Amino acid sequence: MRSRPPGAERAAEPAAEPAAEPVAERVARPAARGCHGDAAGDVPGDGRPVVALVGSPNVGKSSLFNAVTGARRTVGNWAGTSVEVGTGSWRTGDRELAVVDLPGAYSLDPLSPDERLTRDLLVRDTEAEASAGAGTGARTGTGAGHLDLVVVVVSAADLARTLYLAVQVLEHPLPVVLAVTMGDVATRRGIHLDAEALSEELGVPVVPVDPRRGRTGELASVVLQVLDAGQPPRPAPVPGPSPEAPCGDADLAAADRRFTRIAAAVGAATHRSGGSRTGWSDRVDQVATHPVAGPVVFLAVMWVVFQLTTRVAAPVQGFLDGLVSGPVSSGARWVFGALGLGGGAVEGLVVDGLVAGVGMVLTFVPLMTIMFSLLAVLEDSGYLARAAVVTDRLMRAVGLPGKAFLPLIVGFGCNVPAVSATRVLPDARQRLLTVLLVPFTSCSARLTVYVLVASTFFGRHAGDVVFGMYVLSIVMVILTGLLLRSTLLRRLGTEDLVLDLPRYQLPLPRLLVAVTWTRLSAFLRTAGGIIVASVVVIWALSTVQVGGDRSEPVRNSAYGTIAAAASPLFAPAGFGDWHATGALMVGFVAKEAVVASWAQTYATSEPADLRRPGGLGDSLRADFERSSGGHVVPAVLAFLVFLLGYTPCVATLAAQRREIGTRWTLVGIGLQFVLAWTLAVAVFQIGRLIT
Amino acid sequence: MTLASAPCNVPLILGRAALPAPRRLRLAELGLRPGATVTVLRRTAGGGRIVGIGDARVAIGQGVLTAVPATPVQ
Repeated sequence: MRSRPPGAERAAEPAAEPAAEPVAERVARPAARGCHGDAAGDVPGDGRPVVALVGSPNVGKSSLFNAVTGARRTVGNWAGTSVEVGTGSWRTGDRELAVVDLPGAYSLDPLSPDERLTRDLLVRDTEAEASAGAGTGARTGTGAGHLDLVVVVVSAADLARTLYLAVQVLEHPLPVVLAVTMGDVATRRGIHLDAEALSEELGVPVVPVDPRRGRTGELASVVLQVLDAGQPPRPAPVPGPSPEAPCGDADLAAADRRFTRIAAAVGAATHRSGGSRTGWSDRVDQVATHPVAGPVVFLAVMWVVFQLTTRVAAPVQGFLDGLVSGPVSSGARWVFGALGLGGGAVEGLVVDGLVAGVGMVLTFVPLMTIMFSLLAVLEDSGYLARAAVVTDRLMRAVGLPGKAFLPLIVGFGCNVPAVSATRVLPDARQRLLTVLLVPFTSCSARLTVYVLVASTFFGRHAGDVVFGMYVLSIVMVILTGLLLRSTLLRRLGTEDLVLDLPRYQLPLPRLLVAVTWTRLSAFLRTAGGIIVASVVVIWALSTVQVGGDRSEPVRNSAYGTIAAAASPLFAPAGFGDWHATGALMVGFVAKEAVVASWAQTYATSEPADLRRPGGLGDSLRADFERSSGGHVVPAVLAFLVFLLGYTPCVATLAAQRREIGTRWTLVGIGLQFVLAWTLAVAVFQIGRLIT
Repeated sequence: MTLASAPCNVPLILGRAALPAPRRLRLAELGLRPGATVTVLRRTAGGGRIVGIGDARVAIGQGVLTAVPATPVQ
């Protein structure tokens, strides 16, 4: 049911459009610049009424967004999931509304960039409007680009806390409807809500909903009624300082008055009949957050995530890779042959460029699907918040909250889903730092090169060398984090942990599928094109002959020529050879292809067992001997260090660009290259002195 | 006594936190405001505590715990 019909009077439209930038345009901007690309679509300034959804973290706001729009915005049972602005269309009857899903916020007093965005979109817009003459009271109509109505989502199970934001929003001149979620949870705890009484207390319609199960009750009809008929003026707001003023005692006094009002409203609208939260959620927490058992559980969960994202996906990836490079490529070549175009540049472009590029994108699909599904399970179940508690102190050393541990762990499997997994972080700057650190985690693709090189040069100590690379990877993450915090990201917050823990719940398969599909399709849309284009470019470079001896087609291709031209750059690190440089160039596209590249440039076969490199090993030994002036061991170690630290693969770059934009991605590329080169040179030069 | 030194499973009344105003405000928004009754439920890995405020659970780090005075409910 819903309560309190909206006022019949329709307030006058503003005399003039306010000077403030239209909300829709501001909301659309992040998607336009390529960040956070899974937004469900821009809010078009096409005259549709704009409805904003706001609410505290964990109240089911994003679930409600999905339920009303079908846009499948990211959903998660964890503080700060809605770290982006999602948009979508809400069709109800013959009407269509534009819906904006604002980042979760406890209040309009922001402590993070995401909360600030919510505050700005709500408060500045309405204040500009008020100053333009609209005044307090209803504002209706189809003012494109402005918020026409705000749906504040609160939890019946935690009404007192989640009403704070609602009460603050009510102090601003926008029509408001209150959507109350988690009625079932409240009932189990013995809390009974009288929506009519709550509506009377607050002066706005109150509509119970259950968005996790797709039930939105009378929300649509109430929203339309308020949009059409307007809303009567509300009581005068709680006096307080300007939102722009520094937070101080006046804010706290205003907050106290709001808490008093909330207590009265909750007292009038709810009653308890026994029941308590203490139950299986608390019992699980006794283990999951235990000082000793908690980290053990966490490591076990991370181990499962790591194994599933790498080992389970591997055979499927291998199958897809074999399918594309085998039957699909053969079929395409047959078609070109039948058309009389066999062996030409067009066939090469299509088969070795486009088909190979699409094949590489496809091989990421199982990996990303598993990763996103597991992430959704951890989020929706509520465990991710506990993992954040367990790892908080460790991660705080580099200025990150505990929840940043997850993407970094995943990075040891594959950097691409790890970059996407940074979305679990609510703070934009923490996300930025984590995205920049992820490429330093040594992904499984780099492992193939470690094994080959270490087996070739270090014999029975190969395992120690590979283990050392993983230790170095962790050291690089920590040191780079400290470096960035003291330079580019000095303003990164270091506040102590204060984290709301949602109760555990069983993830709903429908939501998991929706979240996984949203994230996967967004990845394919934004990263797929870049990966395919890069593969095509590398193919083209290796095809174009730049004169010289035709008996060495790879060396005399544009690829070989560029590699040879760039190789002196690595001479101070002891591996200034075009084969090694070319392999690193290929590694920019995919680290998995480094070994194959060596096999191709040395005109030998790729070893079936990387621990027995055979002829390829002999060629590598000869070249490293030559390029290092006899200091082979330090040169090989320098090469491995550079391989670990330099620019990640193009798929990771595409994912990075999607999350942090082009500028910061370029900063990351430069930073990694400089760090990797400096370390490699240091390793070789110091090693040369020792050996 | 502060939340850091308070015993577990004992109802406590909170005092005014010795924190910057924005942090105090955030604590208040989460239900941790002067006069509120809370219970420290358990220690966590890393030296923090999980605090119960009614049905809600909030994980709090060591730095904040030591800044929030608390007295047992008589």
